[in-house]
Amino acid sequence: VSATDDVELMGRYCDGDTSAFRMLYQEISGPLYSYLLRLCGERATAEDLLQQTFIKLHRARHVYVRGARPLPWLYAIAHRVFIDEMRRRKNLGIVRAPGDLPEVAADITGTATDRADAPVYDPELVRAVLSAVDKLPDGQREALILTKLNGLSIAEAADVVGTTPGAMKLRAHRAYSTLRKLFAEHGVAA
Amino acid sequence: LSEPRPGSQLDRALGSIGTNGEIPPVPGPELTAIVAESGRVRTRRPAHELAALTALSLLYAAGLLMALGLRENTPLMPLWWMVAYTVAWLAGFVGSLYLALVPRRGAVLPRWRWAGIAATVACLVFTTGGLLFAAESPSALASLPGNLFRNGRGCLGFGLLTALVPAVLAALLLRRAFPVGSRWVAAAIGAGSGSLGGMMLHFHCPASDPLHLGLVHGGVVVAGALLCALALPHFLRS
Repeated sequence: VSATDDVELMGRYCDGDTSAFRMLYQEISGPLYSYLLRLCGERATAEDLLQQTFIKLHRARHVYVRGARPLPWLYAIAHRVFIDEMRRRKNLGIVRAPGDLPEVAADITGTATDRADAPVYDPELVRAVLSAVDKLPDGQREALILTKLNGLSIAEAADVVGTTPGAMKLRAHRAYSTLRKLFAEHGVAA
Repeated sequence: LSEPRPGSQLDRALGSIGTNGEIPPVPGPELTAIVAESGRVRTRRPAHELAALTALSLLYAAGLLMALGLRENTPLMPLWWMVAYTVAWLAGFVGSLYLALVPRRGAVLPRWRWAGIAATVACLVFTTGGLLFAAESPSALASLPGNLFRNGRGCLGFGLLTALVPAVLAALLLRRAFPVGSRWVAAAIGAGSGSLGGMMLHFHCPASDPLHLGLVHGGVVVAGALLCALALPHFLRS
């Protein structure tokens, strides 16, 4: 979805057009869900956090500024929802389950189904990358997810997390270096 | 042939993962229900809000000043000093609130880092500025160190009373606006509102000695920033 579409849909949603909300949800829930899933590592929790993110968006839609891109704001709301959930779990003494690593949907040739033009990739390598990403420290993992997987700029990612662009750049760089080291140690066969 | 660098393979692997392949759930019943019963909402117009907030706050401060009375020694004070301080207080008030209320063009998220910097700068400038740039006037009241607390309490109270209205209005305008950076924005709201309090004191309080200006009048800015940073973030957070 283009930024212009986002902006237009968000404007119509604020005007009370519920079909615009459904279209907006359809267009942007994918990247947000993927972000939350990679942060928390559990499908059920990510689904719940996604719903909470949109409920918070709905309650805060009066602060939307017409003409502005809603996606970075939504990422920031999702980030806050995730942080609040983690704090709640910490207070309740719930330990994060290692469990549901995201999977890459692939067709019979190994190509991601919705990216037929993308190069063929070894699913094992992709799984290894995701597993390594999951083992990174929280801040570094989030920086890598936002910048490398979700495609946000350093400045946008810094705004989402509530840090400076310099700190975000450092976290993303450290995360990337750690991953590279891991892969260099184990040898990459792809 | 040399092996490709692991880094480049990693890049490609990360690129191939992207955000694809995950199928998000459909909107849940709670979300569907609240969206279905919602209507049109009035969205933010930051520049208009800033203008309205500034006008209302200045009117309120002027009213309060009328009730409390102008400083008796106004004609005896150096004109440059009166003007320079007025401009500085006004800049602190409008500048801090501008950064707290008006996001960058095309963004919903606030400039919370700049707002935080503005709050810090305002606190430093008005305390050290008061200590360094006091005016000499034969009729200006001197606050002896022993009287500082006694004389200061009233000024601090009136300053914070002036700051109350812009702080409350700004908080209402920005309710649920900030998923991140809300404490810094709250501090900027407090510092800006405190600057208006300082400006009101500038026209009301006859004291012009460095300790009183720096620690009490400048202290209104610091107290405003600290109080708002403590009280408002939960209210401002999405």
